[in-house]
Amino acid sequence: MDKNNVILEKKRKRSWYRYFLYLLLLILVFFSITEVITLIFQKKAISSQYGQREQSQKIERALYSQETIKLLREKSYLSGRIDMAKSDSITLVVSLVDSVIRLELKGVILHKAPILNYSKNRLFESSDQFAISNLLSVPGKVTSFEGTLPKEPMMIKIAPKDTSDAIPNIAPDTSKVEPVYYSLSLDNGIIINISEVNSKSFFENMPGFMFNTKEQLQTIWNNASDLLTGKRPKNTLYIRLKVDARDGRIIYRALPYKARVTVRM
Amino acid sequence: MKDQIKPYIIIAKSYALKAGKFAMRVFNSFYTHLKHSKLGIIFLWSWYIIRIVLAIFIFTFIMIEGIPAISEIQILTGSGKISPDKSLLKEQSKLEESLTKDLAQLEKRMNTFTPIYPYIIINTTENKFYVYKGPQLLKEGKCSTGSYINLIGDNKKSWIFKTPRGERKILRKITNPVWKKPDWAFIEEGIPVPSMSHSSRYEYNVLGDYALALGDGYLIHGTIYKRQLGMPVTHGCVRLNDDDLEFVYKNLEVGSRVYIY
Repeated sequence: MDKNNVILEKKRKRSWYRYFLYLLLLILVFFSITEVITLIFQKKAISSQYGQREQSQKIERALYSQETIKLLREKSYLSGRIDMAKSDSITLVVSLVDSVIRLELKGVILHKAPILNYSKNRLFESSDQFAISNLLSVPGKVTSFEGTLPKEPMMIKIAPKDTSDAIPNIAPDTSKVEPVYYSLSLDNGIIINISEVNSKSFFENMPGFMFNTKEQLQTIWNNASDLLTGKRPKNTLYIRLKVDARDGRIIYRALPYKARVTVRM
Repeated sequence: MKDQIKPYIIIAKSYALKAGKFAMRVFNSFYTHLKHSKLGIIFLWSWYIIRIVLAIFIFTFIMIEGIPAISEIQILTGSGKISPDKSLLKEQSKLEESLTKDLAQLEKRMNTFTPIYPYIIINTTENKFYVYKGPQLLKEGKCSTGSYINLIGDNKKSWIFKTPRGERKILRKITNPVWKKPDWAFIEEGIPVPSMSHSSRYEYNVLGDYALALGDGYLIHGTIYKRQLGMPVTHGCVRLNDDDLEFVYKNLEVGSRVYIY
């Protein structure tokens, strides 16, 4: 009887392992398929939104060689900057061609910073290049700002009741600096993720790690829930930039909430 | 010749068969051994998962890398259904020519945005200023800008001490400026607010020798708190040290552009 119990217990234990592994496998397969499906959907979406109509597609596309596509992109970039220069607010120019990120106001360069490293979604390369040129031809508008540092480092001071209650103004402590990790979601579907290049330890860099992990989990969750509810999941058109922490902070603070952004690639 | 080789082929076949059987036997015994141990089961499952994931990755890789690249070549070179003929090449060069012309015009237009007269750029995050003439940097240095303090008064009235970002113009140039203290300057110190024309409203020699008005009460002026230059400590104005202020005053005219970011 005892022997039988032991065998049953062993079997039960083994079946738990099995269930766990099944679940793990299911999750892995689910997310791998999601990734592929989102890529395919996004590619189709880009082509249908920014590509040309079927009739003249083949003939007109044949006119665009690599060289003309390059010129077309250059034209889009300059027209985008000119368009942004007409507005009163500070704008952002991300040029992956010369690895530079710039703040501009009415066409005047306010701040220029080198991009130390970058990566972008493969869709930018693998999608229809004509459609991508069209996508980049109009400056994107920031729809949401998320980051690890405050946009305006506001401090609240309650007015003293009399002179004895008044505290003299002390010079602020500028040595305290927050890690620079933020992302700008644009209305054209591009997400620009800017983070600092640092040599900090893992624990010092914890907020940055948390920010990136949260963002990735959010994407996975969104895709999974889209698939489960029968919606088309989106593959994020991300551009990840690594800049100096100082430059990253300047750009984050200077950009207005609905800033316009031109990307050149 | 063929007959001579035949027996060797038969022998080789039988050896290969034996080797195969032996390998299968070894594999089977290894597999059974694995199946009967906990670690073995974990190993087999992991291997199974790795195979599936690898297959998915290979599939994804082909989807992303292979197929688009092929279609891309067809689209861009016209090597697919449409073959590039001479008239097409002519059209292509025409298009390139017109695009190059457009680019030159756009670049020219872009250059017109930068003022040819001296202008000042103020960085409020780092509290630095830069004076330019066209693309040429004339002077740079430290300044002080808004402290981002939100002062809340008794009657729930509040003031935010920040330097406004954007483009402004120099509206007035003032020598020996006098500071007419606004209400918040008294509230901040816990002093009752006097009438608008009261003498305690006027403070002399605190704004330096010069001031440049930017509108809405914001000024570029000097300071007596020189050690605080490079820090966000002001009520919204831009403070400079004496030498820098003199340079700015002498180089910028009424109407000169001020870019604050």
